[in-house]
Amino acid sequence: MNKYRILRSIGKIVLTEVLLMIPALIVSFLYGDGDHIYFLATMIPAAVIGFTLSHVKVVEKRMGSRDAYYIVALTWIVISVIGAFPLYFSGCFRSYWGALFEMVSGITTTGASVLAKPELLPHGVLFWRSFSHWIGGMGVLVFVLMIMPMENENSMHLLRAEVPGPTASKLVPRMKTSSMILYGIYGVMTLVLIVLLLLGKMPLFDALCVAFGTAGTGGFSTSSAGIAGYGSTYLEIVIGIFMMLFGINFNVYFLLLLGKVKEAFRTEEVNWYLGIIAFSTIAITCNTFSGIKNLGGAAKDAFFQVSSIITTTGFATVDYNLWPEFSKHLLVLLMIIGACSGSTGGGLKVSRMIILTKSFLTEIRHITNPRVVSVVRLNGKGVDKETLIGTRIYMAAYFIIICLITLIVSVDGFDLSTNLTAVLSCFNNIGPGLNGVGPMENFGGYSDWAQVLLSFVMLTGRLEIFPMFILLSKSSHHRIGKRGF
Amino acid sequence: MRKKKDINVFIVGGGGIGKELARHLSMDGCKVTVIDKDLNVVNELGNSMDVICFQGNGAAYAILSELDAGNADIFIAVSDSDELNILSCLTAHMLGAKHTVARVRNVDYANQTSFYRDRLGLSMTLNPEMAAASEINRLLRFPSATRVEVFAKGRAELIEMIIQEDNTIIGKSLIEIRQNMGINLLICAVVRDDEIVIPNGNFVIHEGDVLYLTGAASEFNRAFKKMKVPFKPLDCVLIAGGGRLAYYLAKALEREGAGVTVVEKNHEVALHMAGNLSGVSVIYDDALNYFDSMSESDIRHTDAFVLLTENDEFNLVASMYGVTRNIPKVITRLNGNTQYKLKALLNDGRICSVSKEEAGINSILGYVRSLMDAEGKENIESLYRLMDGKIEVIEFKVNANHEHLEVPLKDLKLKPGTLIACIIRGTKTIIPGGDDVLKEKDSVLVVTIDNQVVRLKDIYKG
Repeated sequence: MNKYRILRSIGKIVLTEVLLMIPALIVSFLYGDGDHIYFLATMIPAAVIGFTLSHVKVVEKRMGSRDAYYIVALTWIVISVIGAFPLYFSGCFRSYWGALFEMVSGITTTGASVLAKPELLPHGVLFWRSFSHWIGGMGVLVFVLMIMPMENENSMHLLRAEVPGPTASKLVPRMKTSSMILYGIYGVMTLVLIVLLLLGKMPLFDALCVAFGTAGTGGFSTSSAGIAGYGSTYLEIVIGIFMMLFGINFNVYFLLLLGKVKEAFRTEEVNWYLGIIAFSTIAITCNTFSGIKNLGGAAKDAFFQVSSIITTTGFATVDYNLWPEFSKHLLVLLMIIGACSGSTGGGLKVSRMIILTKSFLTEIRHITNPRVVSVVRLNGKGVDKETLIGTRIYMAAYFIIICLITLIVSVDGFDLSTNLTAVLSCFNNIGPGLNGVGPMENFGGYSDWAQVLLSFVMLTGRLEIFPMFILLSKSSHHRIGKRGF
Repeated sequence: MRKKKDINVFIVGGGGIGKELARHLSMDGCKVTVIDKDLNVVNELGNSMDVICFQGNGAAYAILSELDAGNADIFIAVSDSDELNILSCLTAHMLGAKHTVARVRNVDYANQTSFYRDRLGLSMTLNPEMAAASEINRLLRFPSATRVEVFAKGRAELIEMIIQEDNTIIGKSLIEIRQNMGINLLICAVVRDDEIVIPNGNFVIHEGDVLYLTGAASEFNRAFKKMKVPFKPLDCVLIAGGGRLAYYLAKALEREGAGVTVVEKNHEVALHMAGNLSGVSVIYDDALNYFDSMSESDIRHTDAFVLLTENDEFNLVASMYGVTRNIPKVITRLNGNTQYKLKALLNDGRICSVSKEEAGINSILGYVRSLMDAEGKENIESLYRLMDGKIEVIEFKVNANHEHLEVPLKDLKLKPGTLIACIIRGTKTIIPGGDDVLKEKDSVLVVTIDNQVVRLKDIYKG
């Protein structure tokens, strides 16, 4: 293992985080809530550490895939640990661990909060909390790769580990250009959203924070009332549509930019994704209609909630805890499915669901006729064997981890539906769950150790399981030592 | 001038050469796209370097048009199959790729390079064996030359050499060298004490100068003899192994008048070789056996021993044996990989090693870099940078609307620091004197310092 290289990369990432805190610092000065001290007290030591680390002498330039996974996992941990300090200094949290949970929840675009009343936070801290969604949505390393040269050809491993989905692909030959295109599309879409929100008479500060939450599919609100607090149908529809758009694979937007409209609309994953949203919206509308007696309102709430849950954003306009059981169950299913690969959303990803469903059908054919040769296809092309196996293993790991963590969390004493949806919600980076962690509740009820565990679960979910476990696995440490890397 | 990072390179085939090319070009800052039929190769390349990879047949129109290969500035086909390489270059050329390079190894095709270039639109055909053969030839012919570049499709050469103390041209001016010694070469640039001079006729050569000489390829042998550079004309070269590489080398050496003996232990290959090369004696035997059977005087008269069998281990052992028998020059062919690993071992100077892969990669890289440098300049055939880019040697094509056609060079005023080094008219290479003129369709080599030339007309004063 190349320790110095890892340290050096981490140093660069810490420096990048200091840069990213500057907008929040400016906001805190503008509002004069006195929270600029919190930021300065974090940024100055962090800058010193980052500067020192980024000047570590690298003996060996080579970076293997293990090093890359280490860098990815450590990056996210370091960013959360440092980013939590301004929140902690604000004094609104019970302990540092609560602040850490909040920060991890921000950077992983989960949006689960331990605070009952976020509006008590000073403006700069509120801004930082929402801004972390925006950074975490597209990926910290994708951002770092764009602004700083990683001086290594093997940086592709970094991108692979951070970009969600069964296969990572670049848009153009050069990674730097690729990152720039992604952030370009992301930035422009966010800007359009901000303008639309302002047109809906939302205050500028709220518009920025909500837009960051929507773009990163995060879900932090600036007040406990959430989106419902604005009481505007226009805003709800705009946010609902944009959540859906940010859950689409960004390659599709790139194809649209290139003018390959036909190809963009032929993407199988996006078609399934839109199909699932349409079906769920109609089903929930029918199910909740009887209680509300207002077809338009029911459809709007159903669409907003479906869009919010499937893209793993987690905004809420209604307390769906009060919905009929069928609707709640459907929402839990949507939590698991998640958004498209290569988007800012989390979850299992629609493309994995397609591959798994198709392998299931293939297997049935295979059992009835063992000599049949069948290929699982995605977008008309055969899925290669490694991706297939990888997807199945991912699915298995996903359920094992969810079951185990739910079991451990249950020690804290809540009921099954609270614990299970809390874990699902953290793992899939959604935010709210059901019952005790429902849309109008928060995670403040969990004790410190459970919050740290759930923070770990959020990171595991955001990085798609493997990087975090490679960091933990003892056998791999052992092997590294023996092989003398 | 376009920035290098905007240059779009396509590489078909991610084997030994393709992979190295992708690595070098992506480090140079090009946008590299690799197409290979093997999914494992695609995955490995895509993971280990900053290039984009696709699986598929690199000659298929559907794939090339989907990947927009018509946008390629440079399209390089280096897969295993000559036919596929030619076809994919043709397809890319038709789609609009600017420059196409195909690896063509088969002797049947390799001899028709001008047809491919002029009629089918391939910019360059690469033959790693031929590139290695010319590298060996250079090592044999000009051991004192530090660099050799080939211009105008091989009709002119540029040689960089350091003047050693016993050179006969020390203390002479350029006019004396040209007129009294009858050396028909042009000294186009001299580096003395880190300063670059484009010399005029009265310039006097000192010891330790670095000279850049241009001229016809055939002229160098005679000139080197007159200059008394440590250079022994090759009388007798012994080549072990009768593959394509040996064929190209033997042919080139024979053309220059050296006696060549090829030893090959496969009867059919030996027969084939003898049939194709009339002036070369082909022996059907094991190379070491034959070497042992040679008399002391035969060995004393052997100037060089070249090991070109496909077996690296044999080549190494045989070359060491050659050194113990005091053969003055021993050259061995090694696999690119082996050569890299044994660099330290081979550094003692008695054994030189050459690899086909490296020679091939170098010649493509040289070509691609000259294209990159030439981007944005008009009518440039190729461009070479010497001395860290301080000297540029540019090959221009003279077209019909050139304003100084048919004007003797002595009547033209050139800018200081520029020089017409060579005129290539058809198959003739002219070292220009005052009475020579430029004609339409000539190729001219212009040497310039300080990057002042972009078009041919830039060389004139005013």
